[in-house]
Formats: sequence, C-alpha cells, structure tokens
Amino acid sequence: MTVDHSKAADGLTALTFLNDAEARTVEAIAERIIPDGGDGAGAASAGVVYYIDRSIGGVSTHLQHVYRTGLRALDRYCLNERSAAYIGLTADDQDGVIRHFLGPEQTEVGTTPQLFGDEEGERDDADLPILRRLFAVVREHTIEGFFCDPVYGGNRDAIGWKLVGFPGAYWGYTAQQMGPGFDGRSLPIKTLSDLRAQLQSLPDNSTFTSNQES
Amino acid sequence: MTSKIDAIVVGAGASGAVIASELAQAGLKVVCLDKGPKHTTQDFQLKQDEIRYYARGSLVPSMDTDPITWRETSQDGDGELAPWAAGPLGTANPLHLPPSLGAGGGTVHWGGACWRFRETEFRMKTEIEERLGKSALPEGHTLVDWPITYADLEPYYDKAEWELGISGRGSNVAGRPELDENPWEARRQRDYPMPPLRQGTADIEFSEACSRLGYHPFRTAAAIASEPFKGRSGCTYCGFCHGYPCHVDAKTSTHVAALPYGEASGNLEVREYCRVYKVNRSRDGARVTGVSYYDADGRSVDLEADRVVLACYALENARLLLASGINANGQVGKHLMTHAFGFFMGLTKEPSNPYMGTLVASTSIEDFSGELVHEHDPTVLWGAPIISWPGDYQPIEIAHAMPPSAPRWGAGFRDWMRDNYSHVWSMYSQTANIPTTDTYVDLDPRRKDPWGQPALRMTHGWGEWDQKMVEFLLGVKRKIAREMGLTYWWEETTKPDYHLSTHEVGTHRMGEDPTISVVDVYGRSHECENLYVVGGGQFPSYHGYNPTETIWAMAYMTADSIIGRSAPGPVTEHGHVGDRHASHNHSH
Repeated sequence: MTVDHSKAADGLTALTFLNDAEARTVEAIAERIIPDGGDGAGAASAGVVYYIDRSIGGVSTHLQHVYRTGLRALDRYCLNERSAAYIGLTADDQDGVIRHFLGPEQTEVGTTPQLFGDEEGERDDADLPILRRLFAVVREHTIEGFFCDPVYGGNRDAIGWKLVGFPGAYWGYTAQQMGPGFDGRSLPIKTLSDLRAQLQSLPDNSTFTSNQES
Repeated sequence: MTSKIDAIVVGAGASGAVIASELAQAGLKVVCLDKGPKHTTQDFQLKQDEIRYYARGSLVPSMDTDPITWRETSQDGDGELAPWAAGPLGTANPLHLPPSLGAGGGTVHWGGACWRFRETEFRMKTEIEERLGKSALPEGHTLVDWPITYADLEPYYDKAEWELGISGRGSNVAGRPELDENPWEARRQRDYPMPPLRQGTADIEFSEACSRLGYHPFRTAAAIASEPFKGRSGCTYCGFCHGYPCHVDAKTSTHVAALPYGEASGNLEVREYCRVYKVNRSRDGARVTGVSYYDADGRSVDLEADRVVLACYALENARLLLASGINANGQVGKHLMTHAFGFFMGLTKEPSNPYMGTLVASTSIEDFSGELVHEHDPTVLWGAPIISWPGDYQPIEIAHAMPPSAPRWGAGFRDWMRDNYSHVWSMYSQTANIPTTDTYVDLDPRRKDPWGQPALRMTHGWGEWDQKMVEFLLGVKRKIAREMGLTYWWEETTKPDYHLSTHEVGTHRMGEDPTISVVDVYGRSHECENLYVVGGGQFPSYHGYNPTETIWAMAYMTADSIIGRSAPGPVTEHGHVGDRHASHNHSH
C-alpha cells in the first residue's frame, strides 16, 4: 500500500515521537481547527503535525503524555460514542467531537469557555480532563505550527503567512513600505533561512543594518 | 580581577547595568552577577522568530525555575502558581512574567516606551486629597508622596536620555518655545538626543483623530535609536521588537548601552548564570558582607565585597531581602503596585500592516493624565496617557488577541485571520492600582524553587477604584476609535486576570523615615548601611507611565551617591558641569 503523506516544511515525513496512527489522528484534528478553505491553505498541507511531533519530541517533552494518553482516550471515546475511530468520522462528526471537548467555535460575547474544573462531568467520565487538555493543547500547537517559521517543520511553503499576508522574517522596512496605501502582499515572503543566507553572503552586515532594503 | 571587590551588583538589567558601569568607570572594582547569559548581538541576528521569543518565551524565566504564586486577597488561603502565566502548553505568556534573564534584563525584550513622570506624579497622594477630599482614597490605602521632586530627578532624566540614547521630541524645552505639542510636559533643560521614530500609517490616523477631537497628540519618546547613536545602528523597523531582542543594537538595552562602558574601564566583571540566593550579613546585622549564589553547575559560591547593590527587579529584590532575613521593620514587600493596560484593539479601514515598525513608534495624548482627569470625572482618582500601539504584531500573537466574538477554531477562525490580520491596530493606557494593606508580596509558606529557595507569593487584586480608572480611559478610547473610523473594536476587561504586568513596583519603598520605608532616596537600606536595593521597588506611588526611564534616573542618582559625586550640573556646550567635576573627584 502506498501512502500519500503530508510533508514537513523541509520535505521530510519521518516522526520523532508520535507513532504513525497518532500522527494521522493529530493531523485530522489540526485540519478541523484550521481547515483548508479550498485554497490549499490548511493545517495538513502546512505540515502542522510535524511541528507538533518535533515540539514534543525535543522541546516540550512535558507534553508527551498529553498526546499519548489523550489520543488513547480519544480512540475509546470515538469507538464508544460514534462507533469509529476519529479519523474514520465525517468532517461534521469530527467537528462535533472537537466541540464537545474544546467548546463551540464561537462563544457568546463576554463568556469564557469553561475548559477545566467541571467536577460533575469529571465524575461521570474519567477521560474528560485529559481529553479537554488534549484538545486545548492541539489547538494551541496547531496555531503555532501554522504560523511558525518553516525551520520548525510547519508552515510549509509559508502557507500560513501567505494566507494572512504576513511577509515573514525581515531585517526592516522602508519609509515607503510603512507609508499609506502600501500593498503589503506585494512583499516577497522571507524566512529565517533566507536571512541566514544573506548573513553569510554579506559579512560586513551591510544589509541588516540598512533600512533601504526592499 | 583582584580579590578585593568594592561592590557586588546583583542583576545586570535596567538599573544594575547602569550602576555597575558607573561605579566601574569611577574606579571601583565591581562584580555584576546575573541569573542568565551575557547576551551578544550575534546571538540575536536571527531573532525574527515568533516561536522562540513569543510562543516559547525564551528570554523570560519560567514558572518551573522562578515560581510566583498569587492570591487575590490575604483571606484567600494559599496562593496558586500565577494562573495567567501558563497557557495550555504550560509555557509562559512573555508579556506577563518578570523581565528577561541575562545581561540587559527587561531592557532586552522591552518595547522601549520612555517617560519622565510629571511634577504632580511625585505628590499624587496630596493632589488627590486636596482636589477630591481626604475620603476619596480607599480605606486601607498606603499611598504616600515621594520624598523627592521632579526637580531633583530632572538632571538625571536628562543624563539617562543623553547617555543611553532616547528618541523623541520635547514640548517644554528651555529656550525652545517652538516645541509645544504636549501642554502638560514637565520642564526639561534640553530636547532628546534623537528625533522621534518613523510612524506607521495607522499611527498617523490616530494622531489626526486626536487632533480633530481637540486633544493634544505628541510623539511617544522611545528607548530606540532613530538614527545612529554612539556606535549603535538606527532602528530598521523590522517589526519584531516588543518581546524580542534587537538585531542591530538600536534598542536601548543596557547590555549594549551601559555595560560595555563599565567593562572598558577594566574594573567590571560580569558573571553570567549566577543565581544569588542570599545576602550575607555581619554578626551584628548592621552591615552586609556579600552574597551567596549558585553557579551554572549548581555549586554554591560565597562572594564578599564592601557593599552590595540588589538590582534584580522589584519582586526578586523583595524575595532576596525576605529570604535573607533583612526586614526588621516589616516593610519589605508591602505596597505592591502594578499596571492594568486597558488594551483596546481594532481594525482599520485601510491596511495597517501591523508587522512593520515598533509598537513605540507611536503617538500619545496626556489630556487625561494624572490629576487632569479630575476635571472630566472627579470620581476617577488618577488618569494616564493614552498611547497608540501601531505595529509589531506577528500572526501568533494576533491569534491570541482576537475579539471574543471571533471563532476560536474552524473555518471561521481561519477566515478571520485571513481577512483581518493586516488591519489590526491598538491603543492602551496604564493605570496602577492604589497600594493598600492587602497588596503585597511575601515568601510562599510552602512552595520552593528547584534550588530549594522559597518562592515569592503575591497578594494582589484590582479594587473598584482601580477599575474606574481603566473604564474612564476606555471611554476616551471608544471616542478615538469612532473618530478614526475603525470598522470593529474590542477591549480588555477593567479587571484583568493578570497581576504581573512587567511593571511591578513599590515593594521596597524609599522614604526618609526608617520606620515606614525600606531604603532612602539613594536606595540605601535603612537596616544595613552598605546595602543598596534599587529599581522600581523604590517607587512610593505609581502612575500612568512605563517605569524604566525613572528607574534609570534613580540608578544614576544612586551611583553618584555611592561614588560621592554631586548631581549633574546644568548642561553647557561641554556637557554637564557635574560630569567634569566628577572626573577629578572620585575617591576609590
């Protein structure tokens, strides 16, 4: 069987902590948090799962247990309540699961979603706290992985930056660029790797101390 | 370095770096200790990284290593780890933690807002009582006037601006009547050494709207070089400023603006990764003998010196004094004050391109500052400037600052970011809580840090009188938003859930009466004659301004006091009279 994996920003597909099934589930959740709007810009194509995998494999090791035990609990929940694993559900059902643990997409103005401390609910379902935590963590990680510099594995081809019109890593901006009526989307997107390449080619640092670069 | 040390300075941040460098240049042998690394500009060349500095807060301490607990009132039992300082990932929001670790301290990551306090701020208690009556202040308040005046600090404000490098345009400058944008600026002997930073387009809209409303907009002074200054580059407006280190040394961070001058004297040694845990005292307790610290490998080291200067932030200064048993009159940690920001965000009609520039390349109004607010609403105790925050916003930060009405996930979240990110703009103000007998820090009775040292516990809530100040200024911001034609806006609550703003002050109050204050006007301890405790912790009251320029001015005053040097005299074409005098006068 051939599998068409999404890719990290650097084109690699190997995993450093999550197992294959976990990665597929995480990617499916992330894609519902930031879904492709038909323009190719969603969490899966941005490689968000690789940002998450590399984060918990190396920097945020204190969150490994949230993913490992949380994803097991998610499987139990989905099989019990919906008779299929999370990745086997329709998009609408996947959204329903997220809504159940993360709260609705849109909250009423002036209310704060109550994510923790629902003691009554926790008595009924021992998995509730870890599932709530899992979805809060995945949401946070999905935003980071969608808008990070590609060096971190996500934001492949600067998909997230292009979507919102953020030009990325710049040494500076000119007076004309900061002036009225300037179309920021006309700026070429630059990453930290682009800046590092310039550093190496300009040992006198002339570029990054100059304001006039365009 | 010789074995005899004249002064240990604990903390290489805003005040510590200035004092250490001034003492070293005057001939004293100084060792400056900091918990964090000795940053170099090379470390920051690729700092345009929102994961590293915003999401992971790599410059600021974490609740794991530097725990702070909090409770709203002293009736609330034990404190909990500061709940606003850890999101779902367990990482800190870098805005709401104590300043950066390492040389430069908070001046590495700061936005660089630079303010002199106005004359009336130094007598806030008297102004309120005379204007609004003695009963206007809340029951249990501990507000006092400052033991010094604006006139005492003016030469030192001037010194800070010209030594360290501040950009701005004065409005009340001796001999310069053409400079008059801010009618309420306190008199200054000369203008700033550099012109204001370049404004972004949305800031100009703010300024014009304020003028149309009859307010008096002027350019916010900034601790960022707007043009080359003392070998440092001018600002490049890269848009990774607040929360980020500077890649071209334009930002006035003391590791580039102060420490190098001390080190060049050959008298200053900066020791990195040294975590001071105790101030040691003589047998009779009247003097300090030095400090004990853990080095990078966790070994305890004792260091002796003729004097010790604690300069490691209002919170850690208080924690160290308490952990060292230096608190005979019970005043250490009392009178805690911090800022509520009244954040007001909106969407501009034309793109604001918020990824450009720096937040402090901005405009402010003082029409509602301090006592001026009483003319508009005498139930508001004290006002503050309203300050535009026109740029320096990256996408992850904005994803965490969306309006409550916006979707938090799904297609709606994605589309909101797509449609609105490039139109985000904001303004803010800073109002401080009135200190009371129930706003203070002490040692947490149970929680320890990984080195076994007691954690700091904050007791702090926002009073109704504090919320009223925020609400009044939000009302003005709504008027400005309408006048600007913002298409949508949203506001922070008047009772924010954070209690650390990175502007904590008041915890080792200065005063002339040793029974009701911790240090004198020079920061010298009333209890131990060769101990100085400096920084915002000295502030007797707090107002609508960022603290750092005043902290710098006071640091120069402390240095002069230690050296035995008189205050800077009037400026002449050769510089300060006092400076020239001093070069022949130091005695060590």
